[in-house]
Amino acid sequence: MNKIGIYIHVPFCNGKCNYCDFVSGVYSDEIKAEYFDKLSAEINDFDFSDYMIDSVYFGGGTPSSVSAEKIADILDLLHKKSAFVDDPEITVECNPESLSSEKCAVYKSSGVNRLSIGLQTATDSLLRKIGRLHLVQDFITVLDQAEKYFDNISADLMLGIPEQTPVDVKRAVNLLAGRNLKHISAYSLKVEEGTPLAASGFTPDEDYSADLYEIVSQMLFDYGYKRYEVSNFAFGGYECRHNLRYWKRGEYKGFGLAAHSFVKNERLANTADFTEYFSGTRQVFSQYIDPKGKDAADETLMLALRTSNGLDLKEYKSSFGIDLIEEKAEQIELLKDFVEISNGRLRLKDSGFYVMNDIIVRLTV
Amino acid sequence: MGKNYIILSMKEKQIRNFCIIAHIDHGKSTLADRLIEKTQTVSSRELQDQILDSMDLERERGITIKLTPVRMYYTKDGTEYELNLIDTPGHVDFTFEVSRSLRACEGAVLVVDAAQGVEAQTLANVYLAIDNNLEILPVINKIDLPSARPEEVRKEIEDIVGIDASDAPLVSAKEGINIEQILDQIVDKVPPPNGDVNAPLKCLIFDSYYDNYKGAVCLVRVLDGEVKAGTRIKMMASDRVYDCVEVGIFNPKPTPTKSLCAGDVGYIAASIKAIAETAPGDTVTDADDPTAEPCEGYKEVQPVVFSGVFPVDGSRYNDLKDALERLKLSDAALFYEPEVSAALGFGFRCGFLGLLHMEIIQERLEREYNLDLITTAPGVTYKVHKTNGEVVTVTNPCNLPPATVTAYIEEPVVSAEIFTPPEYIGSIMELCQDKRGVFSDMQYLDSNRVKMKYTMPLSEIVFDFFDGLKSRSRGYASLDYELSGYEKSDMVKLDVMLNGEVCDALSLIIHRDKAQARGRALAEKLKEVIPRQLFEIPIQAAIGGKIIARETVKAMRKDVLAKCYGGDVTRKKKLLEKQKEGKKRMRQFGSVEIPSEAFMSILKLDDK
Repeated sequence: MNKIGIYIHVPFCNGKCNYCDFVSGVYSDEIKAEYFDKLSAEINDFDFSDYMIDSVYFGGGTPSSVSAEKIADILDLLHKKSAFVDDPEITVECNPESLSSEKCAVYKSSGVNRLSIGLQTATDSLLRKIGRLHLVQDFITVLDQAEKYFDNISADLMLGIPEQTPVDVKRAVNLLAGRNLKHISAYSLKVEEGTPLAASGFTPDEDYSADLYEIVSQMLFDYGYKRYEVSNFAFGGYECRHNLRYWKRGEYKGFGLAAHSFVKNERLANTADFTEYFSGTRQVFSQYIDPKGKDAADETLMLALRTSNGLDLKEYKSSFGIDLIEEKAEQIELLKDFVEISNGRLRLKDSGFYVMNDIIVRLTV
Repeated sequence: MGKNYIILSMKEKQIRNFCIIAHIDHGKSTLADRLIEKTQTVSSRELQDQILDSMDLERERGITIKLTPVRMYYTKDGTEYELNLIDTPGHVDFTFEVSRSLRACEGAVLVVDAAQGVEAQTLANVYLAIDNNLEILPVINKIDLPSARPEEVRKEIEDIVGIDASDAPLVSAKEGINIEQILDQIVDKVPPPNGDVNAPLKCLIFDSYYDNYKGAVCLVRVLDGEVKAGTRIKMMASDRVYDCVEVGIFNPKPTPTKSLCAGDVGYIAASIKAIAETAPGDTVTDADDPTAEPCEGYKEVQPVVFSGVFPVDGSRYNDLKDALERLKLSDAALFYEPEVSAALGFGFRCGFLGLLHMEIIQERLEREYNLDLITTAPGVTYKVHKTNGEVVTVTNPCNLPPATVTAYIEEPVVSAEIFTPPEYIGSIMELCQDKRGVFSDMQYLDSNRVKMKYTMPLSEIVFDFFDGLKSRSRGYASLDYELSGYEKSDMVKLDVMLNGEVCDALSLIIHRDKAQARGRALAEKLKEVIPRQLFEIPIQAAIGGKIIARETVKAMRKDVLAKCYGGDVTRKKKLLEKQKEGKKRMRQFGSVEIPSEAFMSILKLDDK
């Protein structure tokens, strides 16, 4: 039986942050109830017989904004439908304003063993500016509570918020690393079309974002974290399995609005439209990827280079018949400040992580 | 036989071949439209404004490039006359084409604007017509304008042009006033053609065009003899022989006829594969009964402005080659030869009659052949005198011999005439001085019009002179120039190095005094247009190895898709696909990627 990761999309929040273009929003209890009905129906319709669940990830939106019982119900259903590995990783994304001791207790008893809490920044004025519903102290309070239930806790940081200074970034890193969180994600803010942030005319200074990323990376290295993926840092053994599955082209099945899947060599996507989803239309995109083809090869390289483990050149050659060292010798030489080859793997150097798009394009074009 | 002869000779007497000479905005096309309308050559429903300007480009710019003859029938005193209007291009770049079309006519209608009077630029063409023994019929147009001063203009024509204008018709082409008077004068004053229909065939090719079904078609004026379908014809310059498939006239659309006889203007189609075989100026004769002497005046045209032309997408080299071949078929003045550039790959070095000609060719390549082009900075032909006494002509900066073996360089100079309202004299003088112009004369043509004469290097006119002139005169000043010879000049080669390597497509030949400023401007502009890349890119401008300007494109710091939300790999792939596409539009030069636009953006620079 193959291992599979399960993604559950919870498109509900207590408020919409001004940079957010994810499929999420504030909805009535009736809609939430109907959504979970349809979500259960979608899970029921999936044939799990070939699979063992290795990880479950509740993402959003804000999964902690709905009652913990709804999360527990979904996990019960998954257990009814499918086998699990002995030690599955089960994560719930939370925001400080909607997490509580009570919720943690229910999560814990239903099998959740990892929380990912959105902090974004440890400066109150910036939190208000981007429309977050919590302040720094709220985060500290829920973290104190959550640590009573969970050992494996992650927090998100955001880099490049308007008016964010290196001091703000350092304060946030010190707060999280000072609490010995096992996992920290640091994403640079992307201004997405149609968001209030975009409407405000803010354009991020890319050099400045890069500076902040370097500050964060260096501080986390000093605290003993390892960068296992461009935006993800963890203590050894606490890398997010669900996340790594994406980069290794493992199979995963997403349920719910706008959820993405990669199963049996097909990339699938669900509708992002509530009405459509409620009327029974789920999947709106599918693309078969020939497992031996160029597309699969490009995906493999593009995803693997995001990780510090890099790309296994021998496996790449045997899977796709592409001898990268030979075929891209000129580019690899040209890129020698950014990539390295050791132990049969092609990896990005520290200098390469933040400019990887161009490197990937050069190696796959 | 005898009967046939009489009919043809009668017909001959009823033919009038004429052209229209006019300043660019004095209403030539409108007048031509009116003549066509009056003679009912096309129904008014069909009459589109300015029929003769058939190319889109010509309509947009209001200028005539291609010569399109039209046959009209006009009855006067009970006799029907055949009037052939041969259109002439109005721009200085096309003087050669003008002279070709003039030689197909016996008369010229000189259109003068009743408000503006005689314009100096028109004079060159009038004198060309007089030199070709054409009967000049002055016509005073735009009499409907409130500012019209027809009687003063009549006097001006006599004073300045030096021809009798006492019975010049006063017309308004726009309003259709007195158009018949022009037609009457064409019949009465323009002499009929005087060829001999019984002599061996002799036709002057004054233009040609390519037709997808008929091949290269020659536009001809028959001087002697008769040509019809089945005649074995010979091109005298190339000695090639063809079977004539079809002859015809322009009505104004091509219309087949039984034959073309001495005096006629029309076309000959003979399944000719390439335009190059129908060189304008060449003579068509009967292969089995050739004429003794070809028409005089056939000469190869000399391009004066050169530029490298490359496809943006290197794989379209062959399309570009085909397109140039096609254009060459109808444009004998276009010159091209293959060129290989380290930065731009395979392309062509093209030669043009002037800047307008260059723009037209580039636009036609892009519009009619759907090509995306990179063109390098336009340059001129230099004569390089080497220390060993050898003289080489250089049109491509990359071929300039090194300074160590160069005794001196000569550059082409022009005598330029600038016409402007007096208030702009000061700033235009400044511009001309800046462009190394030497002032020779200034003349008030009237109270609001001044003619300034300068001797000026052609290379300076080629580099952004028109735009400067227009902006300093709010668009009022105009320029006319002709090559006047070569002068010794202190020219140097300015190179641009990207990441330490000379980028051949950016090299220029320039006067030493201007090299420093241009080098700085070039480097600054390139810094603006070359996007940041993985590597820092030093940009240097150098003269003979000496660096005179330096800029740096800093290395890119962030180029990453930080988040891959919920396993949405497809979106990430799309973004990378877009980046790949963008990369394909870049020119790889060593480790530097140069966007195609960069080569174009440096064609217009502010030296200061």
